[in-house]
Amino acid sequence: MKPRQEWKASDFGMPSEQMTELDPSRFLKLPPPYEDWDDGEMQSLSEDQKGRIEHSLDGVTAIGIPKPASPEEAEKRVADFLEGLRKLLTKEDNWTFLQPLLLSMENCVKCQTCNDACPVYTSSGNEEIYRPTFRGEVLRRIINKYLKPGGKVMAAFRGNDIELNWGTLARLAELSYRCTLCRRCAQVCPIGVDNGLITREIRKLFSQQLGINVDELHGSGTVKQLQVGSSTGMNPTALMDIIEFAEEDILERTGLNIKIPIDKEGADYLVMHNAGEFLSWPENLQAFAIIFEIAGVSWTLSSEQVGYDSVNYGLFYDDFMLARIALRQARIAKGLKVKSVLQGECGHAHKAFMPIADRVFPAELNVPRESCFPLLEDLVCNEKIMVDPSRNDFPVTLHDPCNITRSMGIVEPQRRILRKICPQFREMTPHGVNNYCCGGGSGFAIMQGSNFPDWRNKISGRRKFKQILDVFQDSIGPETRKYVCAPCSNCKGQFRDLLGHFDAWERCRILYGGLVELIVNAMVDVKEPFIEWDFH
Amino acid sequence: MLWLQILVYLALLVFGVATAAKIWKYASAPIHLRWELYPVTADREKKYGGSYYEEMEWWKHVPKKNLFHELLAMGEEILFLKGVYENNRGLWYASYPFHLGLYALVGLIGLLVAGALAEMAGISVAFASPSLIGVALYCLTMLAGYAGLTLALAGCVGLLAKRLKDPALRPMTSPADYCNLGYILTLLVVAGAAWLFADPTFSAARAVAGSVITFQPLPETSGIVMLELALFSIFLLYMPFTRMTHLFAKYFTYHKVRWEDSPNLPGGPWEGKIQEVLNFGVSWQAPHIQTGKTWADIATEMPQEEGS
Repeated sequence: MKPRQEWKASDFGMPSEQMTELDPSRFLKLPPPYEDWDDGEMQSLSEDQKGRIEHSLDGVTAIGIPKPASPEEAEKRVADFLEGLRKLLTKEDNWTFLQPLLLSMENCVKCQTCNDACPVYTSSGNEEIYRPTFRGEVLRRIINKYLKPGGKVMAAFRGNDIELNWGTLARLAELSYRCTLCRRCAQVCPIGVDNGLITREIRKLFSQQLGINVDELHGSGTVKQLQVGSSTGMNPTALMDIIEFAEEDILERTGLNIKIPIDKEGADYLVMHNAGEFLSWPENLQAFAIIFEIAGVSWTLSSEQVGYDSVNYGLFYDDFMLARIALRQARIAKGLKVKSVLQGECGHAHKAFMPIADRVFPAELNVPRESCFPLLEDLVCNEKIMVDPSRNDFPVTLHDPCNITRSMGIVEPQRRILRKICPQFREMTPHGVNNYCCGGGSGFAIMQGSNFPDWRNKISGRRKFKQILDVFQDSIGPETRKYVCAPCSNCKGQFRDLLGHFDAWERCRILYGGLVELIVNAMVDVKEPFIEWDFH
Repeated sequence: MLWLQILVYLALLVFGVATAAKIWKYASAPIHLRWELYPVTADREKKYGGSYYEEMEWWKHVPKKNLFHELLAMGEEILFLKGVYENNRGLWYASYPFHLGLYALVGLIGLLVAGALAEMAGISVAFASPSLIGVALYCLTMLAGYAGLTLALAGCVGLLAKRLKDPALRPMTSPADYCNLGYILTLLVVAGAAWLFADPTFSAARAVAGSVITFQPLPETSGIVMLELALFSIFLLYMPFTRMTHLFAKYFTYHKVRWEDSPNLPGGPWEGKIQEVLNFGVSWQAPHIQTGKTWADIATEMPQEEGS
């Protein structure tokens, strides 16, 4: 194995058991009380897994690509890949992103301005293959050498020296899942090149042409959502049980007898939650119900398959799955004759259903779609619900979900709420549109296979964990309860794993949760504290 | 000298056609899914990066595009390389003089053409010219030429040194990249030598510009000025085929992607364009895609692998 810093894109096609060995001693250092934190070794695959699954990039596997059964199968996959690559560059097959892809592929001057913006690259101790430009450079070389006329002539001189073989593809597929698509790299690029987009296009090529994708996103994700109703496996019957339980729980916790509206035609808002809230954080669903009922908002949930789960993992890897889910959701909203669809606290659902799907909706399905944050701001800041900020008198910080801030420009409403209801609210550095990803973006939060969670907790979430520790340094000890407000279901999933990995509840009393829980916790109409200070 | 004249026109033709073709390729691409990055420049009141999505019923609050604000932001980027300054200061010290020098040298070409036209109109382009226009053209030409050359030379050397020494840049730099920078450096050195030793007031260069725009034979001049012209022509020949076209691409990456920010409102201009792309045929072949159908058909059907 070569020393880590000597890898070049031209080495990507060279045969080796594993390109690079991650070295925890080089990982980003953490502030107190984690100065002496021992990351231990990276979790390695079992010998059996190594024999079956592609792992030659960094010893980690996100996708779990089986090794080809024969050289012929490997060759066929390489040929299929090249065919898919051609499609990626045609307007019929890839109208969805052709223009931005071409712009990014043809105009990167490789100035490396993006390096320091990348939380994965910097957290890993500047691991060469995690450079934002690296995977784009590999793809660029394959295009230039294998698709363009005369591409093999003086390929090394022209910077197109790469060997295309099954190993190259397996590494490239895995490498496309070492980036959270947070797009900080694109934001600092002086030319506007978007290596996050290139990463997504690589994922898409593998999914749409070769059927290679992550099971949690595809088979157990979008496909299950379309078939059963939710990627969690929750069908409409289970939903009704959960709603009934939620109503009972609200009554028990708050004394409020609230009936959660289902399939109410003509309501102002069809509220769509990430189904993860129903199963893992039902307090979020309950808090929304309490706020809306007390404020007199006209709203409803849908009990129709897909209509009660705002998740759309297609955003992360496949245009068709993205469109299928968005169109189904729009059709359900039309059927209910609601005035607008309101997105709950889920970042990728916001982005998928609002700006991204905007251009797959034919006129008859172009339903109005809104974020929950302006409405919540209106209710809290215009005193349509009464709050007592002293109930939230503990340190609170806000995590900005990338999809809501950097990709949609929803930055201030949630802050105005927090400033009003949390006397000890403080900002991370940087924040807003310059925030760092939680480390679970682009589907990482739900990817639990093999040794990927170990990589996610140690590397992709590390920068965010450092930010959280930094912002609470004035009260970092376990004697003070602290709250990370993460108004996004996927981010909360990541925080559950990340804070758990670092034992941050025991060591620092850092809890995470949504925004609406904080609002209800401060509401004068709710007599008992709503936030339960136990880590889950 | 005929060969040089042919080379000059060939270079101009190839440069023009190839550049136009590249711009057309980007401009004629179909609509794409929205992929903005905030802040966008349209809303100067929300410099922190806020958008109309911060409003209830946001569709009633979509701000009109403000070309002036967009140009202002682009101007900062182009004139000062603001992004590089803020995010990659070490590179900016080399990249900024290089770019500024190139802008001045592009300006020099314009001034040489203007000077040639002025002389055709009987205006003497000289420091002692009786015409103010002649004096201004002379002084500006001298300034653009020598300042541009100095800045571009310094920047080019700096960029070469950065690419050779910086461990972040070196692995991503190909031999062709070095040759490219080396060629520009050679061109600048030759141009500098030509100006200092053979054409210090740009009178020969102006005469060349005059002959090119009037399709007259090139004037007799020193060998080094001819070499400068030949090297510059070759540069024009290959420039559109390199990443140096980021100069043009930047317009699209910013205006058509990052800052596009144009929602599909009912009855608006996007509806027709969306209908058009939804009718495109699809040939992706993964099991969950019904290859051969239109985009709209596939997007409204269940994944094929599930047998629906």
